[in-house]
Amino acid sequence: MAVRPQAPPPEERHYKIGTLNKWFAIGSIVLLITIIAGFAQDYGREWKRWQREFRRIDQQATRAAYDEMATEMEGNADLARAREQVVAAGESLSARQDDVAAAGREVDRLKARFDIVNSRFQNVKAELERARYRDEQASASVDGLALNSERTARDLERWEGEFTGVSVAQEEAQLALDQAQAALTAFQDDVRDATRERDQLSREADLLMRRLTRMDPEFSPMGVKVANVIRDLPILDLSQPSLKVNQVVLPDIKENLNFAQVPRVDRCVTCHLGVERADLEGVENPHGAHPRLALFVASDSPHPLEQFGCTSCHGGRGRATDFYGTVHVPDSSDQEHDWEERLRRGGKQPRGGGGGGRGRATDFYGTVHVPDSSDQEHDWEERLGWKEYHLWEEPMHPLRYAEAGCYQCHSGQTQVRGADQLNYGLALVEQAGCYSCHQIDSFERSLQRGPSLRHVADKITPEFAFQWIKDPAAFRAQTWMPSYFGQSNNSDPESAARGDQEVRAMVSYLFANSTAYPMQSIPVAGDAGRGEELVASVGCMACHQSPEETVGSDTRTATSIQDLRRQFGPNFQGLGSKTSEQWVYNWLKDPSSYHPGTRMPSLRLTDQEAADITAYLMGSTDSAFVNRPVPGIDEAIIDQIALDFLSNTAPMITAREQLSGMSRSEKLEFTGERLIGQYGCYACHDIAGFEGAQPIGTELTNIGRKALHQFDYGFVDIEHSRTSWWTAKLTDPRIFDTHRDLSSMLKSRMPNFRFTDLQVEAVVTALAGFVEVDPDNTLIVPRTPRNLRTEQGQQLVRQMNCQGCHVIEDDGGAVVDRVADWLQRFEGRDAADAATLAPSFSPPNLLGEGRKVQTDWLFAFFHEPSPIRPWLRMRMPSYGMTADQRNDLIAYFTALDDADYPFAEAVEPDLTGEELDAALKMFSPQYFNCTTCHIQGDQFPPGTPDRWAPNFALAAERLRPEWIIDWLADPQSLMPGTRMPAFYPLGAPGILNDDTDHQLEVLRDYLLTLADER
Amino acid sequence: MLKQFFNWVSNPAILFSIFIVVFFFIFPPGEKMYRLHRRLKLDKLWTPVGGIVFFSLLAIFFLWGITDENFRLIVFKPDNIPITALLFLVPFFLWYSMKQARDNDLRAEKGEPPHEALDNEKVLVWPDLVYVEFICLILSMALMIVWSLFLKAPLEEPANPTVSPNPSKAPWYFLGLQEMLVYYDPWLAGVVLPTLIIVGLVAIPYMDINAGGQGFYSFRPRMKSISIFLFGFVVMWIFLILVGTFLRGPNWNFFGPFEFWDVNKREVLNNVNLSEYVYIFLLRTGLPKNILVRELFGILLILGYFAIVPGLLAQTVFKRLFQRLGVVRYSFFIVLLLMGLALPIKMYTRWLFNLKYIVSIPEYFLNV
Repeated sequence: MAVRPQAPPPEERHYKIGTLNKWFAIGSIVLLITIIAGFAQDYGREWKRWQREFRRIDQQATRAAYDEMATEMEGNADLARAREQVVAAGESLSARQDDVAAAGREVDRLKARFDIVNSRFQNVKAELERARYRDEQASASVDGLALNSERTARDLERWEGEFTGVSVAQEEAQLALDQAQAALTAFQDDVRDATRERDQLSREADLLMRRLTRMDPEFSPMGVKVANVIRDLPILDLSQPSLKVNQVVLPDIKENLNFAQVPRVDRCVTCHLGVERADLEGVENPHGAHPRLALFVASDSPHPLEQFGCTSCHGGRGRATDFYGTVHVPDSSDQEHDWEERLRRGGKQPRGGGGGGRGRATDFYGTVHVPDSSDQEHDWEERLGWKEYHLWEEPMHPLRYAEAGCYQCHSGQTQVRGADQLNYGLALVEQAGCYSCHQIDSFERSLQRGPSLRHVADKITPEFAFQWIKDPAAFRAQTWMPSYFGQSNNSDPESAARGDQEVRAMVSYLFANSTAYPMQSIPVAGDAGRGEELVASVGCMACHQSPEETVGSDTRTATSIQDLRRQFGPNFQGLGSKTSEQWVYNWLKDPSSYHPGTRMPSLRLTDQEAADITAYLMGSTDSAFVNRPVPGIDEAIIDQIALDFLSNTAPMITAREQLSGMSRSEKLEFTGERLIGQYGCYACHDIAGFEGAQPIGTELTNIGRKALHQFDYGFVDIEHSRTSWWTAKLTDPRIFDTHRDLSSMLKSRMPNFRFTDLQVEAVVTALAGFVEVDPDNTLIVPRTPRNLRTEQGQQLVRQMNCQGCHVIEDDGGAVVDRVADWLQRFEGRDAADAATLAPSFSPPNLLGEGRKVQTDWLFAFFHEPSPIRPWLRMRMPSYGMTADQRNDLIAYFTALDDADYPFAEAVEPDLTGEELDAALKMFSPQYFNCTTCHIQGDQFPPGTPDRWAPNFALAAERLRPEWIIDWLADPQSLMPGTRMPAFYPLGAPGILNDDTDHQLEVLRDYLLTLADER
Repeated sequence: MLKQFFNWVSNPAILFSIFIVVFFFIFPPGEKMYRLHRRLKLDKLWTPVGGIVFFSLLAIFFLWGITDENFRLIVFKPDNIPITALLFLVPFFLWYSMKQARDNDLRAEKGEPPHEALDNEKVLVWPDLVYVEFICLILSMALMIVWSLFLKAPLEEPANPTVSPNPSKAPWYFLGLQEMLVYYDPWLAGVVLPTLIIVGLVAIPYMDINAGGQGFYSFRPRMKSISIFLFGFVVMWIFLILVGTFLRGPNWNFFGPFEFWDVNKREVLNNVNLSEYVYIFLLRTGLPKNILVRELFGILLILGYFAIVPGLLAQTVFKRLFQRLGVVRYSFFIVLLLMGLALPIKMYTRWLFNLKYIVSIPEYFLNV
């Protein structure tokens, strides 16, 4: 039967099948390897490394916290006792083991009985429901189904009877069970109570321990350890991995992604796991907490992470999860190198710091290899990881410019609290007058920066004007007049010669168009000594610096906003060489007669005072500066300049004709006018003929988002980022003309403000913050009436330099140091004494001003200040503010204090005879002794003026009645550090039945009547 | 120094000219050229030694080039890696086929049959072919995975309607077309010429009635066809893709391989129409108002190109071809050929005379 299979015929083959098999094997292995490599690459994401590292840090921190807690609890007697009680209770329980067992058995028996009864009860209940329904249905005979209503009624009755029976039985069984159960648990009461007490005492430590068992292999049980490993395995990690991408979705903050407004998604917290952990403050990035958690990130701060995310302030690409793709930008070239070394893209990271990889890289960079060409340097950058990420328009702000992020939401404010560098930058923008040439929306209300030049011929000589325009810094290093000439793109001999002629032409124009300034002659002889004291004491020093302070410095000295306040006005150095005695006198008497828009206020100086100050100020001279040679007019160059301008608007032939028809002075004036237009002088100065001219600079409102490719780097080899462009530009405004062959007309014109590096950094921070406010952003500072009032007020305060004298919103009072200086030099106090006394002789802190004074009074006071503190030498100046400005300020002060505005409740003092007596008593030395400090009418208190306090006579018209009560009740809470004693809550014993509220009211009413006695 | 030389050579006019001249020496279109080709021993290029020498030179140039930052930047851009591969792969396959062609030509000279005739080409679908294909599939897949592991997808920043990338480049396979746009009006370069390319490819079987050399690799029996086809493919397609990828930078300016892509680079690009040449520079009369009169010379030139040149060629260079193909076939062939040649002609007139358009009637959007 068995058929032997025939041998198969030899198969026809063209290729050797063995070779193909080998190739197949090789190919399969290679494919397998690549797939594994793909998995490995996908699995070994950079952020996991950081999460593992964070876990170790977290473990250490938690262990340390636990150890600390444990040691603390070792010494806790309560806990030790509670533990003993637990043990004792346990022992007593086991002693009664038999009783417990019996009770348990009883419970079991009753439970079984209850179950039987209960099941019967449930059945009967269901039957009853059905019977009731059928009976109802029969009586209604709804669906024509003729049911026998008698039978259903009988059924119902029967089940009702049955139900009554079983429900009683069920309740009885339940009761019996409950009782037995209670008896059983009663045995364990002691143990439970003791345990609860012990747990209460060790709760925090237990919480920490529970965290440790979840994550620390040393403490966690085997199951957790295995689970922790398994959940992070490839593929299995799709369900509940311990290492996972964390993200914050910000529905309120949108970003434009390929034409769609999508909510921002920030995955930064994938690596920055510790940002919210206060206990990790100071730990190195990326694991540490965000600085100032009270202000940022924490859920109870004003900027919680869940609402603001990270990239909304810091910039960068929130959706990325690797260091490179999130567009971190190094803070400095040092950091850049560090990053290049440590954070190799896709490379291995040293664990826990100080590993081999890093050490080797440090060697490579720091010690052995120094690049011998920029090519090589670039090569290294490429090989060693971090490099600039070009494909994201909003890279992260480098850390040192991080405060720029604040301004995109806080742009209405003149100051952003806590952002010191940004504030300094904004103040510099204001001080240097950047907004004059460059439109910046948030500086719309700022004033023209420089003095009017309409009467310049009556102030200075043409020679001085020439030297000043040519090189203002040589005269005063601190001046805010920037340098146009002698810069990197116009210092070659040819440009310098042209520059001289340009200045001459501009001076010609200015002087030819200067109108007369009628000046009074000085009626009395001045005394320089008295003048010096006046300058030191009346308040000049709040905005100006004396020659002694500025002489000898040839770079900017300001390092803070406070310094800038004292450089608000020009310093006095060399004034005697700049202008005439008569001009200074007239200026001091009435600044706005010379320059109606000036911010120089009138200090209501008498003729004698003005003459004294004039005599003092004229004493500072700089003959070397004014005696510098002035080059003569070179008509050939003037012709060329004129021709350049003429041919701009007309064909060259016409231009030549026009030029030949001009006289020499016409040419000068023509070129002068055009040059003033070209350089934009009129943006800061009021110049005849330039009314309504547009500023010449690029608008800066949205400069923080200007596309990088729109910046012209010329041939300057610097990093291509906005911040480095601005830094270069501000350091040397003409730098991007380097190596470029430009005609004089096309050269960069931005003048040099001679900023220090620190100032450049601050201004760059502000620039990076200048972005147009996104109208969809619901998280910007809300435009409530109160906020608007505050913003307008802050702008005015900044424009008027109020904080040069006053402390407003906890900031300002720049002049106090100079007051101390005056006390030392002219009042004979020693240094320590002067420092303590200075605040008493300085203008008042305006904390709570809105709550304190009546709006009517403040309005009048701004118009014509009247002395409140006669002991002060400093004078509140007359600013000549418009009614609008005064109202803005009042609105501002009341907004700060949430006080009534514009109208407030009035109080009519109405004292009975008894009350008046009480008030007089409380005023008397027996009680509060008010007049030892306060002036009353024309009676001055005894003692030195530094102990004096304001006049009671002013109270009625100046102070808000409700404020008087608050003030008397608790002065320290309204003005911390005030010398006003706190009489309450003690009050005046024995007066008005010790009713302190009544006492306060009486005191207030009495004060309000004091005005009449004046 | 050497880099500067290569930058200079990369100037399109120079590089293109060198390429065309060398091309016809290497792929001679006619018998005389072929003899010169053999005498110069250029056919040795298709031997293994020749191939090794050629590819070594190419590799040396490349290796030396990547020491330069700008060269590296453009060659290793993830987008450009396939083009860099193209730079090696196209010459390799060309060399491989030409090697076989040369062998067969030599055998034919000795009166031997071609290799293919000796070789029993029988291949079994199962298992041989399927197995080999499967192995290839596995290896290609491994290659693709490795590629994707090492080079990230070249995604760019989110699209911004106010910012267009500079340079804006077409996908690599369209860079030849984009290059044509520089020389021709969009409707010609973007519509007519691409259509003609397809028509021409479709027409090849009907044009090529030469029975010689069919069924095996050979060059000599069909050198005219091969030469013309390769001119179109290698010079006017592959070469232009390479130019578009590596040598076209910001503002579509030319940049040498070692030159920094400076956005602010300035070039003289004042182009002049033929009518302006004639009326303004030659006749010094100014442009006539009448459009037909104005464009008369251009129109005549184009008519002449398509009406007279075919006849002239049929009497001279293509005399034998004309006889072989017959009038209809020849007409189609010559029109396609002239259209194809129009591109290099226009390129040269642009480079040499700054010629903008031969016929320029912007009034009716008709520019040639």
